[in-house]
Amino acid sequence: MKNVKILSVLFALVLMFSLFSVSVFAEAEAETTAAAAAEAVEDASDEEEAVEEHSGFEPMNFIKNLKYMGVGMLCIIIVIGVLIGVTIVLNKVTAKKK
Amino acid sequence: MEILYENLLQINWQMIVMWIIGGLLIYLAIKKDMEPTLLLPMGFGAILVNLPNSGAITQFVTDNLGNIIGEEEGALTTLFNAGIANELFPLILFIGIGAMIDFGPILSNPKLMIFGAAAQFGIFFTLCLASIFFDINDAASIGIIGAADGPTSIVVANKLGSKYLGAIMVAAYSYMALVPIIQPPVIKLLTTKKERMIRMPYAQAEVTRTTRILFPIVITVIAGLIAPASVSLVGFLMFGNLLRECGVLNSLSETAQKVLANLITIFLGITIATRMVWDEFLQLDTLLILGLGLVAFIFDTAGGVLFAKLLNLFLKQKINPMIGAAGISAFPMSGRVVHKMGLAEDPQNFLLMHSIGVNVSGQIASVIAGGLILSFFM
Repeated sequence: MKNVKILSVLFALVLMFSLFSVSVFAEAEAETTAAAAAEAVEDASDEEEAVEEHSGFEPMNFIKNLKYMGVGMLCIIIVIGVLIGVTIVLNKVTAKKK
Repeated sequence: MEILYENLLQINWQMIVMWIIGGLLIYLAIKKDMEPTLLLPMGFGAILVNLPNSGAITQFVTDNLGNIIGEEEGALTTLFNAGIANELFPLILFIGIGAMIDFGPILSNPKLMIFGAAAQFGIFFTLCLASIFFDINDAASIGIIGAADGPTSIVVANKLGSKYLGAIMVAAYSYMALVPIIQPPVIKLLTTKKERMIRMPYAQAEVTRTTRILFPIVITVIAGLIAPASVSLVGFLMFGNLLRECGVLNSLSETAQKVLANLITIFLGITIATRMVWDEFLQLDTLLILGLGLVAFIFDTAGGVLFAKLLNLFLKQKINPMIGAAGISAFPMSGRVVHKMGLAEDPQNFLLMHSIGVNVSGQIASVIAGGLILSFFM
């Protein structure tokens, strides 16, 4: 009974983490898409700027893309954290009773 | 008689350079034993595809006026379209890799998995650095070299439509083989002798068969819910592991580990070479990619080690920070490198079980990182 309770609590935690992560991504993606759409509308009027090209050396991109580093590392640590928790629970639940 | 020499007249210096590169890869594979399973087929494939009008790859048929009237598909192009363009070969290879992996060390001490996560830092750092020189999809494909995992690199680079697949694969597999040379100086730079001598006693905890069976299923579900783009990567890896751990499919497990893995590796290596045609490969960008790949591996190592040092600020029972470096997915080389470095500092310090556990967790973390990258940019 205790094991079932532990499993249920952890399952709920896992589900919450998953939904939280999905919502963070969805929001971030929605923002990026909206920004990209707005930018595309602005650029569409200017034929020369309509095609976005990488000029070959854009140092500010390092700063601009740091968000992917932050979000990426945070997500991996959260996912692995969840996996650690689940593994500990699995070990406890399936341990042979002495 | 023209037929004997007219093709020779089409040789250019770039093709000769590619023959030399192919020869170098073969030399490294045979003489230096550097990832021979991939470097040898890639090296030979590089020679095959850089012969003038090579029948191994698709050639355009032209009329007398030089207009293209058709094409003749080569065998390697057919294989590429059948297995690399749709990511099938690397995913099937993952079944074999999953069947080879024993998750026991990490299941008996799951907390070590966190170092697998920390050691993926190099992927994202390199992504940011590469974005200075390349567009974001190519930068992400170059960053994933830091996953130190061939199939993940192929899947991500292909899905993101990177045109640098050949260079990325050469970089990934070469650096995987060079882990014993790349990692030790980075570890020594970031740690003191006292830290390297920290002992970590190993107490084997029993892992039940039920846990071993449930683990791959649970991992797949969780990783798939959070990063759906990673389902194929994680799923195939864990399917292979489930074949191994279920205990009732030993023949399938053995087939996956040996026959399947070897078969796919043969096709994968030689087929990747279709992206090593001289006009695609011999660019300054290739040198830049090789440099950025090295940065990825260095910062992976640094990320794992520094994370372990950070944790030591809060822990009473200190962790040897070197095991953080084993979180890179180059299995089992990275784990062995850390173990050897531990023994070199203290002959009584056996870090192997910890480092191998962390190394295995790096495999899982690298696949999740690949899935996250795909989620960001697809």
